[in-house]
Amino acid sequence: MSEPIIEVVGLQKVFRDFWRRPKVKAVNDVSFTVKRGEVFGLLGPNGSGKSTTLKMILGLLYPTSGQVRVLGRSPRDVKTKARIGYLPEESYSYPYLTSQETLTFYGMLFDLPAGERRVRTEQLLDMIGLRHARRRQVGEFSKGMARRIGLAQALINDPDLVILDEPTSGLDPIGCRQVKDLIRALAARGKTVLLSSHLLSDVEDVCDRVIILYNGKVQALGTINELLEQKTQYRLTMPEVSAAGMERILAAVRAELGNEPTVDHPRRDLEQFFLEVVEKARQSTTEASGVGPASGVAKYLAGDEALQHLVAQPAAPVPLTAEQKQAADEKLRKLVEPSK
Amino acid sequence: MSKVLAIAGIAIRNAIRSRVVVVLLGLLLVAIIALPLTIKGDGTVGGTVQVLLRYTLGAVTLILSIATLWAGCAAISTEVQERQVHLLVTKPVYRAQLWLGKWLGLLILNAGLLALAGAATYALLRWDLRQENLAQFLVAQRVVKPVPVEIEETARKVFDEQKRRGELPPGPPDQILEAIRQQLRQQAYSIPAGLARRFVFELPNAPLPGRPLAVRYKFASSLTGKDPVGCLLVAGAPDRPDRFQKPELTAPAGVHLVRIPPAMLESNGMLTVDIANIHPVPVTMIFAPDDGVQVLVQETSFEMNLVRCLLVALCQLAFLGALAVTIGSVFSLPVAAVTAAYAVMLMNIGGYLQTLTTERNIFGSGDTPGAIDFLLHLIYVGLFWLTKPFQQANPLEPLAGGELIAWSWVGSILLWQVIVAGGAVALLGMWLFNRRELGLPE
Repeated sequence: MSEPIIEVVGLQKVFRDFWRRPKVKAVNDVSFTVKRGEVFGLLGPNGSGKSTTLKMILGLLYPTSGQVRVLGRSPRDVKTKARIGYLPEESYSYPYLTSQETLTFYGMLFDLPAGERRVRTEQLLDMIGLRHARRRQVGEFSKGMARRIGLAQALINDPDLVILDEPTSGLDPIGCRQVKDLIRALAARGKTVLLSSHLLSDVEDVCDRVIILYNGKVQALGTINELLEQKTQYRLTMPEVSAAGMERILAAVRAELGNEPTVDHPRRDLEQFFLEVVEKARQSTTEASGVGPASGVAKYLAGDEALQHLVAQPAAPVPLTAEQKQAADEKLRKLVEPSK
Repeated sequence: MSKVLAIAGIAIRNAIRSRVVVVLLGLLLVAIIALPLTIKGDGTVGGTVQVLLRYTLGAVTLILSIATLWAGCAAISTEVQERQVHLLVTKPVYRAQLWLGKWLGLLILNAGLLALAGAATYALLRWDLRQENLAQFLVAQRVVKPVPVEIEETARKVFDEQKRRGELPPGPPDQILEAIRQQLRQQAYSIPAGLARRFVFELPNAPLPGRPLAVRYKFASSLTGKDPVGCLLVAGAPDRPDRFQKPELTAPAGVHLVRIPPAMLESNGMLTVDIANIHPVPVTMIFAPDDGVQVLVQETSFEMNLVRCLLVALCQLAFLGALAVTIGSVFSLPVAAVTAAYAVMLMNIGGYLQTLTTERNIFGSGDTPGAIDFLLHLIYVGLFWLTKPFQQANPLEPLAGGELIAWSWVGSILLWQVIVAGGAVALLGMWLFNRRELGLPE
């Protein structure tokens, strides 16, 4: 059984007024555990208590009762913080620092040696596509660019636990895709990701498990499949068939079910379509005023070379060469063969 | 330490890029250049030197003190309000390190600005009075007080004698004894017409041969008005045939300086000064026991004295910074700034608070103090002792007066103002900041 990274037990937070009288119970008896390598989603409408829970996990708020353990220690312990990366909901960077200075500064807070700090800063700037804006002050950035810097600073220490509050907020679809690929790449390296988001499709794309809070209480907790799978229905996807063939299939289904099944053409994912359009446009121009072309995941975050290859250019899929296709077919065949 | 330096560096960079430093430099330059044009001295070179030093550097320290209070209060409170602190405290940084970094950034900025302002003031002084010989005004002299006249034992003898004879006036014995002391003190430091008084000075570290010596004196006259009084100042060992003598006709208001040949100093480091009242009209010269007659010995260069003066000012700014950062780590900005200003005001009325602590009947109704008087007395005593370690001395007075600012004084200011008082405030600030929940909703 994998090691618990976050343990929340009977957590309660009561906000008090100036006279210390209880004003609101923001979190009420919340318990959950996040294990190593998991991507865990924290969901809930506004005022549900998810930000308060997140802040208690970060040590920014202190629980009224209950317990939070992060990486086996109190969240306020500096040893814990050394292994955490945090992207807040808004950009809280210093507006007068350039993007390079911002990353260097946060790197210094982790006691990274100067050489390592420089390498990571360069790789992160490449990863978020802001290499060309390294000398621009963060205060001049668009919201999306500021979010990217926020994301980069959260990863400067190659954290074991990444806490992301609304990570795709303010990002364009390319940025959103990158963040989601990044989250999966981190999880593949055994990193744990705690994600809070309003964008349910993003959560569905990347999370292994989710918790849904409402009114400070846990309403649902489980894997995406457990929570979303409709076990009483089936969906069949198949390649194009002739009209006669389709008619035979439908007749068989009608005979089995006794009623008419729903049939339609699957649609392409809009996000994927958008990325393809932008990639074509990008190949026809050389200058970038905002976010430049990103370079996948920073090498130090991607770990080994194979993983780096998997996550490279996540926002812009490139057709495989004949050799690559053959190699991939080989791998697929090996994967499928045992089930035969 | 590298984290503290990183946080300090960011604070400095932010201050420079947000143009706070440029505005401050502008204000300081206006104070240094424009202020001396609007203030006239007494027309003498010495007076101009004093005005330039006292008022320009006074304005510089005032501007930097206000800026320190404001910036110190804002250092943490603004980051809490704008939530930049969320990114800092979720990194492996102790809150004490964050506090120290903010304070250190403020201190480095103050050191830079103070050095620039000091250098500019000095350059302006040299340029403005380039036609004059400034050597005798830009000095750093050790001030030596006369060996005090024995009062206490004599007062008790007089008291006992009067008591034995039954001649004591009515009243509490303490008050009678104090009246006798005052009378003796007045006699010891007063010179009626036709009489002389002797002041003996013991120079702790005998100055090097040939180093300039001077007697500085000021007195009050028993006559009303400011008519000058004639006196004769004699210096040197009493048995010496070639004692230095200088007749003077000086006004009771003002400070007078008489240069003494260094040879008048005795080999054991003693200097005897006699002042004779030779005024033809009956008038008494009354000297203050502490600073009525003093000997000044040239010790070091004015430039070194200026450096020491600026170091004392920096120590005081360091304490103000600690106070402001502490208050700013507990309260939001407007509240923090008002609280800091109130605390500074309390520290600057130490003398008034001390007077209040001697009052027993504060409301002044009836002879017996009531419960409210007792309570107020306790509050005043508490406030006085609470603010006593934080009360600040003014290093500009000795600098402008040509008096030595000793390293020992700089050291004591560093010890008490920065290490002890500043340290206590810092510990309190770190403790309070550590307890504070930074993620509370607005």
